[in-house]
Amino acid sequence: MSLEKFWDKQGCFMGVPYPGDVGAGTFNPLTIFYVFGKQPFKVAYIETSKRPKDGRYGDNPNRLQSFFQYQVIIKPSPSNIQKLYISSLMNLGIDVKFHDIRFVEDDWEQETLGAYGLGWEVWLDGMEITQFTYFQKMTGVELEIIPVEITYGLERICMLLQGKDSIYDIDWSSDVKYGDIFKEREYQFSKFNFEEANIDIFRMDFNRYENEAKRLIGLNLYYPAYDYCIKCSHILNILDTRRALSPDERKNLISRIRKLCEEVGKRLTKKKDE
Amino acid sequence: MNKNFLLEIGTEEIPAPYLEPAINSLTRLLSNCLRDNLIHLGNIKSFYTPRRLSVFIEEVSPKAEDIVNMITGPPKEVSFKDGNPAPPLIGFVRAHNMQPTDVKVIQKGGKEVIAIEKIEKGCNTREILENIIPSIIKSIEFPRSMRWESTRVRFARPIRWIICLFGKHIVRFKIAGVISDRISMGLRSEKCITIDKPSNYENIMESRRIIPDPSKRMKEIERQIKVAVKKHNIEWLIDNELLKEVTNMVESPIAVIGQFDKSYLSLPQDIIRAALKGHQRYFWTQKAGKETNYFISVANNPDGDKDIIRKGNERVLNARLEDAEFYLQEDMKLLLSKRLEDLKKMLYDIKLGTLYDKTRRLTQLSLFCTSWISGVDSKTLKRAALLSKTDLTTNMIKDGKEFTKLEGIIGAEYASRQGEDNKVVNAIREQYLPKYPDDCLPHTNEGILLSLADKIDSLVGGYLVSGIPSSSKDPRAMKRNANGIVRIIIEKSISIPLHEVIRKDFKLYNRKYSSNIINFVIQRYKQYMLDKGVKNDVVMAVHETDNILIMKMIADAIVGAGDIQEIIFAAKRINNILKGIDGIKPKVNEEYLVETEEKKLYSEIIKTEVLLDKSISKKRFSDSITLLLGLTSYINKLFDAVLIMSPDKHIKANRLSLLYHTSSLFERIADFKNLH
Repeated sequence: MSLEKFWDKQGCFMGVPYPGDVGAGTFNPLTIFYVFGKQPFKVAYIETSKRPKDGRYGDNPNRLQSFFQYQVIIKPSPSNIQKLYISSLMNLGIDVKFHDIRFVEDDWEQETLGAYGLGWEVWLDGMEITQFTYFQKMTGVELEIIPVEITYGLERICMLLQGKDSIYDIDWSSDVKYGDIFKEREYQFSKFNFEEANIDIFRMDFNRYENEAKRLIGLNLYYPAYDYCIKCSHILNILDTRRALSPDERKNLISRIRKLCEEVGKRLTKKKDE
Repeated sequence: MNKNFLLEIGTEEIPAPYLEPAINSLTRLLSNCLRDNLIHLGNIKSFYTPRRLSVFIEEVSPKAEDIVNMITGPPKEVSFKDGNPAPPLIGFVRAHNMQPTDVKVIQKGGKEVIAIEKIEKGCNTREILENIIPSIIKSIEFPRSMRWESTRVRFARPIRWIICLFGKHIVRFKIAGVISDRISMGLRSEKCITIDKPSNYENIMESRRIIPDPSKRMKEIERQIKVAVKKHNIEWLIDNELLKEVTNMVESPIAVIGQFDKSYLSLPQDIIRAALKGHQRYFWTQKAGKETNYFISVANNPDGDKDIIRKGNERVLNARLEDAEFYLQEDMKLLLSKRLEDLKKMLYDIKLGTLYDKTRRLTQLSLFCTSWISGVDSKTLKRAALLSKTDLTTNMIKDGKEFTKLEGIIGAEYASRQGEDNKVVNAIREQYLPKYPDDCLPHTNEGILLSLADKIDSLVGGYLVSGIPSSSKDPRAMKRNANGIVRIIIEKSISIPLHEVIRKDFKLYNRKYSSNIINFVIQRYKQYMLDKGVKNDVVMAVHETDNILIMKMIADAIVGAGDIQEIIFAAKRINNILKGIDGIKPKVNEEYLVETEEKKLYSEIIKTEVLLDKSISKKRFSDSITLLLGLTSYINKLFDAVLIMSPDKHIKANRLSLLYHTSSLFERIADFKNLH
């Protein structure tokens, strides 16, 4: 809540999470569709990110297959953005004076989106709590105005704030812990992602969604087409977690999604130019 | 009066590995550019932290040097009339806005002409600086650079402030929306820092607890670590590479000691080390020669609460080790030998087949090599080769983030846990050695062969996909592989005909043989020798063969033989006669040997030849050189006493044959005539 207030004050409009399964807040159309063009844009929203491979059956104290991110996009990137970010931590109750805050090189690349950026992972006492990126390219297109993306890992920040050693011990409310709500879910989804997901169904779905995306791109309906790109991306992650993909097949699927995304990007920038 | 100069480029955190090359390039560009502008400089000192690149130059001249241009005019004889200025002279000086009294007479092209000296006043250094610094900043190169604002300047990370002072004055310019000033940023939690004059820069920074000098910073880190480990009665596992990296990641270091959960000490050491160093950049510790669960991190906040920081670090490290434990548990469910099937599904390269194909080739190729090396246990080798790539299918290598670089090491670890023979385990562990230029070599015979086979197969594979690498592009690391082959062969004294081994590998790939690879390896061998300080003429004089150990031994024998001028002289002398003559018969006809000197030389040659062949087959090349040295006096006597180009056709031809035969003996060792 205090993040929301903070970025609201900075003039960000409050976005909403994407209703489907995404691997990162970056996939949200609010990011993808607005980083292009010259128009200034500021948005902040919470996102549930799903990374099937990071599932640990509820055993690892700070790794989850489904977790919450708080995403801030500001275009153009303001010159005091690091300072703003630090203030947002202060605002959360992290007194940076006592902690070790570090910006550690981590160039970001999302192959399926054809996107890359330069920046850091931010460490708080050695723990990665934020990804901080200046986007350079999106859907294969060099960006005109450089946006900055700040992605907070909410569980980890809460852990630090509440002084807990495990995400599952976080107090969700005064009498409910994070583990009470999510631990069983983590276990079941880990079991599903690693062992039980039906490979044949997912493969078929991938092909169907891909075809649908292509058809929609053909109709210049790039918003719904993009929804199908996201679905393909999530299926890729599940198949990969299920160890159903050989490296070249994985590469192949990635490049297929990437092509779709690039098509969406092309149509979108064309529209913006008009 | 000369003044001191200071430039500080303030940025958001620049990646650690970029810093040193960047500061070197900035310093070089700046000093060259000033010198090119005829500005005098004193001592230069450079500083850097992740957030600043700074150059301090003492005693910079306030103006560029004046340039004197000599402008020549008409010849002397037309310039004066009766010793007074004539119209051509008057016109000339007027054109340059000067007086007739400014004229000098000088020599030009053997003639006397009149001339004037025109002085171009040097510009103010400050003005020059204002003009050149923005372009210097833009020309610093980084492995990756970015844009962040509307002027689209590229730099490693955004530039947020710039200090540029000449004496007490600001050198004003604007780059990427930033205007130069005298104000620097302090630590994140602190206020701005004003620099009054360049010479105070380092002191002011240090008073604000930022150590801009990297070597001082490194010493401070070392000092703190030593104090900290002493308190806990443990030893610090010194890692200079990591120390350097850590130094480049902080500007105000504090060392913090923490502990990870003792239960993780049962994980393989290489995994723990990778978790500590690879991602978190923590140092490990020992007590009485045994690794402990204590670690040292270096934080960047002198006001930080060490307890809070320590707890945070411990929490992260435990989670990473928990990850490793998770991978290990998962991986142990499947024996390495059962993973061969998975290798069939994993591509080595789209053009070169699967990793299983590679495994098959490695098995055959390494066994093939055993013909030349004694003391190899074929059973061990075969087993190690079969399992060598299976760790590439494990979670630890495929998904393990900082653990993915442990290929070979993980394979060995798992093989050992799964009860494979110790010799098999060692060979698997050593198969990728050496991984980088100064890395250690495999120790065991099986490891040596497996590593050799792996590198040769990668080299051939790389060649089949992308040909011989160029000097700048080597996507398949073929140079590294070839260098590894050279080092193993030479430093482990492996006498092996590479030709046959490479040919065998081509066959295993089912492709047509090409000699380009052996030539490539020989080129890398030559570079290796040059890097070791062997002179170029020696390296080049040794004949190329596919057994590079022999080449190396001959080169060593030449270097070790001391004075061989007699051989070189004789070889050159013979070559001078023989070159350009065609149709020399290789065989000497004894009937036509007339003079004592030639008879004597011939009989010496026949004797020497037998001994020489023996020394060569025993690879005692210094003996070979001694034998050749023994021949030289006979050769000299021949040249002194006998006319080679005899008027008698037969005798002449025979003498040429004799020289040819002699020279062929030299050639068996090296091309001596081209030595200096």
